[in-house]
Parts: sequence; structure tokens; C-alpha cells
Amino acid sequence: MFWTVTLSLLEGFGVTAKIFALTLLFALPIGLIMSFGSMSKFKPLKWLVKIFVWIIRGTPLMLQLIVIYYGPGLIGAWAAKLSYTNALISWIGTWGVPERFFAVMVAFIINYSCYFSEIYRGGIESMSRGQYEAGQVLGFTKIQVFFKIILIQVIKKILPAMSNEIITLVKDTSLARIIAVYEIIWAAQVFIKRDGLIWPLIYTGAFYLVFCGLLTLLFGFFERKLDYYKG
Amino acid sequence: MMVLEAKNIKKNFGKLEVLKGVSLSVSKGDVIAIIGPSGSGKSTFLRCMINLEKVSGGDIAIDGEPVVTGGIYVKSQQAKDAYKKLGMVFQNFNLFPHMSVIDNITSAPIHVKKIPAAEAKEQARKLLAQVGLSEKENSYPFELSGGQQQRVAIARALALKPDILLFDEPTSALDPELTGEVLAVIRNLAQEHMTLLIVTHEMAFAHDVANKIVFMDKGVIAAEGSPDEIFCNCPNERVNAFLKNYNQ
Ligand SMILES: Nc1ncnc2c1ncn2[C@@H]1O[C@H](COP(=O)(O)OP(=O)(O)O)[C@@H](O)[C@H]1O
Ligand SMILES: [Mg+2]
Repeated sequence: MFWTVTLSLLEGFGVTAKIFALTLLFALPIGLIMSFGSMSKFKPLKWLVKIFVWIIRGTPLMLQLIVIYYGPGLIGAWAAKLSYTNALISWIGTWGVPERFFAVMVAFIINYSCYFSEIYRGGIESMSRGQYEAGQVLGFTKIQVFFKIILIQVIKKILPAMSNEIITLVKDTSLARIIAVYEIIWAAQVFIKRDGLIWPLIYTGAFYLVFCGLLTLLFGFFERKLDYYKG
Repeated sequence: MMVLEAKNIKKNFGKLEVLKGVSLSVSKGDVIAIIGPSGSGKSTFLRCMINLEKVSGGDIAIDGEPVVTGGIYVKSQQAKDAYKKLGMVFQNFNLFPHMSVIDNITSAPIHVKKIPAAEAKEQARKLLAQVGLSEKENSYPFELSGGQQQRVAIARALALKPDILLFDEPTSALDPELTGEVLAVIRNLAQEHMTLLIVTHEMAFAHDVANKIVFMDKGVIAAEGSPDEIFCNCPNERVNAFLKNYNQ
């Protein structure tokens, strides 16, 4: 039985890991772009991003999942005659991505992009103006200044906050089951319903612990890598 | 020809008029010290020269190349390239903390001037010897004293072979016992006939090293002349009052 459960949980954990990895893959760069938006000198853009971030950070991820999964359907019913909503849904279907999983990814990527953007913004704004000015008078282009001078320093500054957020993401993946995406907790619940076994659910904790432990080690490694300088 | 020529430079921050028509001509080999009370616009003037601030009016030409005419910035490639003839050393050094001393010095030559890394490194070592920090090439800025950091910053600026080097209070952030080593490096540059424009509160140093002193007050040049003219029997009350504070 133990092996049956383990294999089953591993399968669920595969989905958990997939949500985790895809969220990072998209939200890390999107968050950076959003942080530029929230620091933009163009006021309308700045406020648009700030209000969006306020809404996303100010409401539960669980609610966002539900809205994103059921929302288009409700709008679809309301505006059934608008053929392009249906066209969009079937277009997504043609990618071979299950609708539910797609909705989970959209919600997670939006949510985490907002959190990351605020972390990036804090890091970037904490850089002294002198670093940009030194780069400029040495003839670096703005892009060179960002990638050669600012970015590493920002990464070093935000690493602790990022590591926190990313470890939270591991556990947030369990929210996917709200819209019936089969992840590790869902996999464990199958055993409760079918076999009356509660321990598989507790056993999932071990998977989370090991995964978060590995991430902690990884972040510790990065922090030590950037320990060679101070300031 | 003038290496740097500024005519009637005006600058305001919102309603605050910080520069009210400042004109300065810098010839090759000039060592000009800008002195004056704090808040008089010295830093703003330097920053306008090297494009860290945009002027509100006036003309600037670098090596004969107009970069600002009548308060309008010239948008040509030549104007852009002209700024590469200026180097700047900041009060707070602004070294890149994540780069070793040698990388701080070679990064712009390699990535901006596209000089081969080996060549840039060789040149950087010469500059480090010149500022007396040969043994520090693999140190990081946080491992150096303020005086050493500022000497690295000078080497970093020199690595691009500027025609003029601007200094904005290069020793103001240093403990008094560390100013000497930085001033000595600047003094050597002056003796090698490097063109220098130095904002400083070190009056004795300015007297020694400069061939011209510019006294700024409330956004204008209130007096200018040779060090002897400014520091000896100066007829300008404001200059005298200012200097009196420093001679105490
Ligand atoms: N970025 C800025 N925004 C607004 N005011 C500024 C700015 N930079 C300088 N100032 C003002 O301009 C005046 C001159 O400053 P500054 O050039 O730094 O003087 P100095 O270097 O002679 O001490 C000061 O009143 C200062 O407060
Ligand atoms: Mg100043």
C-alpha cells in the first residue's frame, strides 16, 4: 500500500512541480517588466500597474483562481452571441492544454508576477543614484548599466525576499485543487474517499518539506555565491 | 582651442534658479578649482557639463563640438561622442561594489571602448601603479579605505583617457588623514598637464595646484582669477568672508 500511495502522490507532485516551475518561468520576467511599469515616469502606466498590483495582492489567490476559471464561462453565457469568446476557448483547447490547468497557470502567473514586481521595485529603488551616474559618465548605455551594474546588486538585495516568496509558491500550488486540478493534495484525498486512509494526506507534508528544504539549500548556495562583496 | 567652453549656463530645478548664467572656458592643460559656499551651484555646474543634469539655457562646446546651443541639446552622434572626452570623479566614489578593483577599471574600456580584455588589464595595472594601489587589484571596494576607493575611482576615470577630468569634492567624504593621498594623486595629474576641473573646499590645495580659481556664489561666478589674485588681496567682500571661514 505504501508504494501505491507513494507512486500516486509522486504523480500528483509532478503536477505540483509543473505549476511551480511554469509559474517561476513566466512570473520572474513578467514581474520585472511590471516593476518597470510601476516605476515609469509615464503616470497613466504607473497607476495602471499600481492599481492592478493592488487588486491582485489585495485579494486571495483562491478567489482569483475561481474568477479566472469560471469568469470567462459566465461572461460567455452573458455574451453568448459574441463568437470570439468561444473561439478563444477552443483556440486554447487546440494547444492540448487542459482548460483547468490553463486557468491555474494564468492565475498563478498573474498573482506571482505582481508579488515579484514589488520585490524587484523595492530592490531597484534601493540602488543609489550614484551607480547609474558612474555608469553613465563611463559611457555605458542604459541597458548596459542595468545588466552590468544594477542587476547583480539588485539580485543580491532581493534574494532573501525572493526565497520567501518562492517557498510560499510551493505551498500555494495546493490551491489548484479548488478548480479540480489533480495535484498532490488531491491525489491524497483520493485515498481518503476510496480507502478511508488519512495518512497519505499527512504523507504529502513530507513531499513539501523535502522540496522546500532543497530550495532553501539552493538559495543558501546563491546567497553564498554573492557573498564575495558587500554593499 | 578650448577643451570645454560653457557660455551663460542657466539651470533651474522647478522654480529654484540654481545657475544664473555661468560662463567658463577651459583650455588644454588648465587646472581650474571651483570654490564657494555650499549650495552655490558648484556640483550642479559640473553635472551640467557632463550631462548628468540638463541645462535650462546656454551653450556648451566640448573640444569645439557644440553639444548645447541656446539651451537646446544637439542630437548628433558627434555631440554624443563629445561627452566621452569628459571623465568624472564623484564625492562618494561610486565604485561598483560587485566588481574587483581591476574589473572596476577595465569594465568601461572593454564594454564601451571595445578594447581587448588583455590590453585593458595591462593598462589598468599601469594606472593602479600610478595611484599607488598595485597590490589591490583583486580586492573589492568594501575592503579598501575611502582614500583607496577614491584613488581607484580616479584610475577608473583615467582608463578612458578623457581630455578633461571633473572632480566634485573628491576628498569631502574622507577622514582628514586620508585626504592627502587623494590630493597627491590629483597633484600628479596636474603636473602631467592633464586638464582638470576641480570643485573643492581644500583651499591650500587649490592655491597650489590650480592655475585659475573660480569663486561661485548664489548661482553666479562672483570672482575668478589666478590663485594669487583670489587668495591674496582680493577686493571681493564675499570671497573674503568665505575664505575667512576656511582660514580659522
Ligand atoms: N536634483 C535637484 N533637485 C532640486 N534641487 C536641487 C537638485 N540638485 C541641487 N539642487 C539645489 O540646487 C542648489 C545648488 O546645489 P549644488 O549644485 O549641489 O551646490 P554646491 O555643490 O555648490 O553645494 C541647492 O540649493 C540644492 O538644494
Ligand atoms: Mg556640491
